[in-house]
Amino acid sequence: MNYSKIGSIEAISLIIIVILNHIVLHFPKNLIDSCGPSSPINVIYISILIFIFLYFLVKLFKNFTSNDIIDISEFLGGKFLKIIIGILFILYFLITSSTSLRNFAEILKVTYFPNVNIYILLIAFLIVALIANKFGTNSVIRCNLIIVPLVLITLLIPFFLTITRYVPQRIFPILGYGFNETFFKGATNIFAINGIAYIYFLMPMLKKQENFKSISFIGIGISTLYLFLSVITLLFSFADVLSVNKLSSVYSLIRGADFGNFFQRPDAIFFLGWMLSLMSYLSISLMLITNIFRKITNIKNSSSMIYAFCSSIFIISLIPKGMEEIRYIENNILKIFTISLLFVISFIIMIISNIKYIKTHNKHPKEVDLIEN
Amino acid sequence: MKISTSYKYLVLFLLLSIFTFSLSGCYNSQNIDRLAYIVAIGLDIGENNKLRISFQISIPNSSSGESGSSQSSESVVNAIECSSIDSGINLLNSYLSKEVNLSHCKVIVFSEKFAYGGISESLYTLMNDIQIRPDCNIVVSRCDAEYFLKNSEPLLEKLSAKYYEIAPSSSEYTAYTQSVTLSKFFSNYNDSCTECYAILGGVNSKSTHDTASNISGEEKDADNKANETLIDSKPNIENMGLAVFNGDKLAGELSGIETMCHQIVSNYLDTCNITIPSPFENNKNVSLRLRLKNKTKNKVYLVDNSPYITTKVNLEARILSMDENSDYLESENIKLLEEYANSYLESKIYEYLYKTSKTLNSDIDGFGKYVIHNFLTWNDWKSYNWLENYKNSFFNVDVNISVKSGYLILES
Repeated sequence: MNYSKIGSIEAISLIIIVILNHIVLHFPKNLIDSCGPSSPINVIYISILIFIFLYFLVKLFKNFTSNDIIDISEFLGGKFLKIIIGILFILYFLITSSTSLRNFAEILKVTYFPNVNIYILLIAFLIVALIANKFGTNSVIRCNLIIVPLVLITLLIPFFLTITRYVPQRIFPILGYGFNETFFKGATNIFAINGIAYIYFLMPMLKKQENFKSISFIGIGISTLYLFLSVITLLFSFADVLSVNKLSSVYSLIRGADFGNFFQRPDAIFFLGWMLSLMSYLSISLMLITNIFRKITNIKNSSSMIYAFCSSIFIISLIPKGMEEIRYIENNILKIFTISLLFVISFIIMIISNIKYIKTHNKHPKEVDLIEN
Repeated sequence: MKISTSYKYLVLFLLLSIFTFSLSGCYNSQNIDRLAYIVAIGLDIGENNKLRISFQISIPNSSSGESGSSQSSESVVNAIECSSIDSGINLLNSYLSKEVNLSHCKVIVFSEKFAYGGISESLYTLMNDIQIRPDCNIVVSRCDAEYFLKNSEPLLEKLSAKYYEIAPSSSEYTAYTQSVTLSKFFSNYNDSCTECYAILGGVNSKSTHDTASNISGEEKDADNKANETLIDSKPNIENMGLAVFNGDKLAGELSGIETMCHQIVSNYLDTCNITIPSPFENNKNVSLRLRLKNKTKNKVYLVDNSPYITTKVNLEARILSMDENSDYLESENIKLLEEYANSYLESKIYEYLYKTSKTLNSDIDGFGKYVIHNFLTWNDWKSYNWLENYKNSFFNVDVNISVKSGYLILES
């Protein structure tokens, strides 16, 4: 792919931005809903699972140091598989960004713009993503680099400000809704760490491919740490988190946090950070969608396709009637789709490609080198 | 990167658009001049309808000639008979010339009569309102909520909203009441380990001094509840004690000293003064300033399925009251005072704990959190039903007060 080469920190930011957006929306609350008081244990458990998964994934990428999952699919199954996987990933990025966009727009509408039509809010975010992509991948990635630390801070502040109201005993009963819900059904919560999707496309973007392993581990490590912090904070701060489903749990934290007498209502500052975060996330998703599309169709100039994909995100985000449908899509359809695509299909492709690579390499070492380059 | 001319125009257009809208000031109907700011809401049982809701509306200062502060001292109370909170707001909207805005609401007052019937529906409605801040205080009034709001006249504060905000903070140095915000109340209501409680309020007037508890003359200063304190002043609101709930229904009241015990047991105590009978002379009292030396250690054991609760209190005290024969440099005197204070406070804490357990059946100290680790799953915990079992609790209280000498006078 014709990405501008990016450094390690830029790459880490790319992975982190996904989880940050989902923390702002409702992923921590989803985890708490599925496991109850044992959700911190569940996060630790899925973190261990994701690191094991990542360890093997990094190993599997060792033979494909300048390829992403699309290239690898082509290597394995030719154009047919490349197109299938490309379409699946396009769909994945389209749906995740659309639901996130609609979800955030709904929160924004309820909190600050009750009289503004939802279309306006959606378009406002999409215009930013569109312009950023028109300026090229460099601007998208560098803007993200600036935004990520800001969002990291805006999420850390509520975690620490609510520390005085923590009741650590809310981690009990230790098995929460049950052993099965924590460890077997709870394993599906691994979908929350869906920054892994970006790792499949990271390799050809890197300036130094040898840093791929450390970038992936640091990116996912920070993501899981933030997920853990957000789950802990929500669970320890409010007893009602187990029984009441709120519009945005992190927003509830901010509303309830004590900022002293001088800063009484600083919600808007946090919202600004989260808006920037969503804009950046949309821009990155749009950048990846466009590049995957260019790759599977072999068109030379894909910049005009940005409009088409922006429109697609806009239309998909309008499909859910309200929050109940958005939550349904995210908790059911997207959960299955994420696990199937990121943790099953792509991983199987990686394994089989490696087998094929080893076999081909043993027979025709020069041929494989050509594919690689 | 070379930016084409069309991009330059696009950026220029966007910048102009942003400046045009941002510099145009208020342009829609949401501007400050068209809003009526509610600083307090009162909820009573209506005569003909389900609900009588009172709104204390701030009147913006007109003398300044500007839009004024939304927290002005002048306010008006309007009461409406309605079927729900939102229909009440709607009716008020149609009555006033301005749109009601709840974003500066600092206190929500439930009358006792209303709270005895259950406040769950109102609570969820208020929590669902985006304008109401979770830090607004919850008060249960011993009189009608409307009467409570009409008698709230800030004595030392110009801004009525500020007054409501500051009033419960006296708990930090008196411990006679406790600041209870909407989010805390809601969280406690949904907690399986604790019950909820609210600030106990009332209108203090000469007529309320003539209550049975005061006539008897046996009650001490801290045994009063809201509106019972013997203060000679024009009728005004007073917060003292706590209103204890069982589920969403009011279960009873706590006096000032009981509230102090609650704060000691549940580690909310900042600092407070306590007056105990003097161990040195009959008919005399000694006042101490207390603060927690260490956090109170609570443990809960299940004995034959009944909770056995141990509370170990560690306090530090300084002597406030002095007379010409005080000798607090003598270690024996200090020791005697300590023993006396320990047994006095122990008995008060016992009284308080058995009251919450046997009389009110409401675990407002959250003892449930000290026993929940004994259960493996949520279903086990729910089927044990801690909040219902709390009435079977028995207690062991151990108070250890280390008394320091006075402040400036050590011996006289």
